[in-house]
Amino acid sequence: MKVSSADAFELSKWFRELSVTLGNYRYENWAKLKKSERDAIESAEWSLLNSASDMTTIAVGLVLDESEASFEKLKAATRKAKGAVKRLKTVRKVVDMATAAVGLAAAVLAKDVGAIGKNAKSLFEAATVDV
Amino acid sequence: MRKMRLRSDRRYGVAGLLLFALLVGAAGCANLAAIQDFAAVSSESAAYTKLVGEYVESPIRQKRYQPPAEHPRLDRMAADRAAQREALLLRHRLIREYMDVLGQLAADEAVVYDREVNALGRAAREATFLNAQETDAFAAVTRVLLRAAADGWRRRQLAELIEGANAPFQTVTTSLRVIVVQGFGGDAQNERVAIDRFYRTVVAESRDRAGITAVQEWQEVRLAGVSARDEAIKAYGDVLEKIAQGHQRLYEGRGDLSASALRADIKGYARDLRGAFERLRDAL
Repeated sequence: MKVSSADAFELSKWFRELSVTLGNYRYENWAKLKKSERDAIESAEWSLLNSASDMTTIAVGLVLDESEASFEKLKAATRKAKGAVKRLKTVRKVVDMATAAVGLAAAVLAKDVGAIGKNAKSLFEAATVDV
Repeated sequence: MRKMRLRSDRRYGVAGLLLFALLVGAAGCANLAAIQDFAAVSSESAAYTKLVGEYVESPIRQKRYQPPAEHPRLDRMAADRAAQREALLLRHRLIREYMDVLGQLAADEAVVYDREVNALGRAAREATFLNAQETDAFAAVTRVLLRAAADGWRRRQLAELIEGANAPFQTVTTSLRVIVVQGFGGDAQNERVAIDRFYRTVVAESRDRAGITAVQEWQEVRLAGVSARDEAIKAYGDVLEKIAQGHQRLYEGRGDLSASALRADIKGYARDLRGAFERLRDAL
């Protein structure tokens, strides 16, 4: 039977509560219990508490496994975005955009309507096309 | 006369060009400062990894309270957790790196192209029709146009990043939050039970009243340490929740990242995040 991380966390909580319940029984009946009985119950308490901690470890591992695919996707998206930041600063892109911007500036200065439209288009393309 | 009229035309041309460029520049530059700020505080918060160390070392701490018969099991548990440490730290690191790059794409600082622009201005002056005054205006105009173009490109990249990354980002932050709140939180409760049991048993088996008092004081000190960790766990759970919620809001508003409603909401998330992060740092 496959256990989910949610199940494992639930089991951890259950083991801890069992451990605490046993401990409460031992303290409430301290005088009535023989030392050997108290020791046996205490041993069971520690074993249950450590089962709770073991289940926490298992649950954490399951959460990591369950989210691994998303982790890899986010890593890929971050890597791609880092590339975009780098491209923003590449000289080639700057030159492309600058060349188009110069053309546009010159067209506006010369009041050449046809050239303005053409160079504005070039600038837009230079700004939006990936290197 | 014709030369004088041409020079006059050019002056108006340069002024008009400057005005045009300023208008283009103003339209192109988006106000993404709120996103940049949110990304910065998210990145700083995600870098807090002290709770990972506390989780990994918990079984070793518990050896102080548990009988020797349980120590081999606790050692094995510590080894199992040590094997998880790197994966847990990588999750923190990735959230931080992602937020760093989100902040860089949202950054309003100018990407400096002065060298290239000045070179272009000089070339235009040397090659064609610009005098010294026109060269400066030309370079200023080009700089503004370049900035507008770069901003537009950067904004598109930012929107695409948010759109493509939101689903995995939600899963990674939510799963880390589950680990912190349920995993680290459950662990803190286990440790509390161990401390309580150890000192309660010592007190029950003792007849020495002064000794009992001293032991109870130590119990309070140990439990206070666990309470501090509890506070840190709750605060960090809030940190991760706010980071996830803020990014979701960015995703929903990705069509217009400089919209005033979105900016206001993101400022709110950044403010709540700062509060949770301060509680976290105060706790541990």
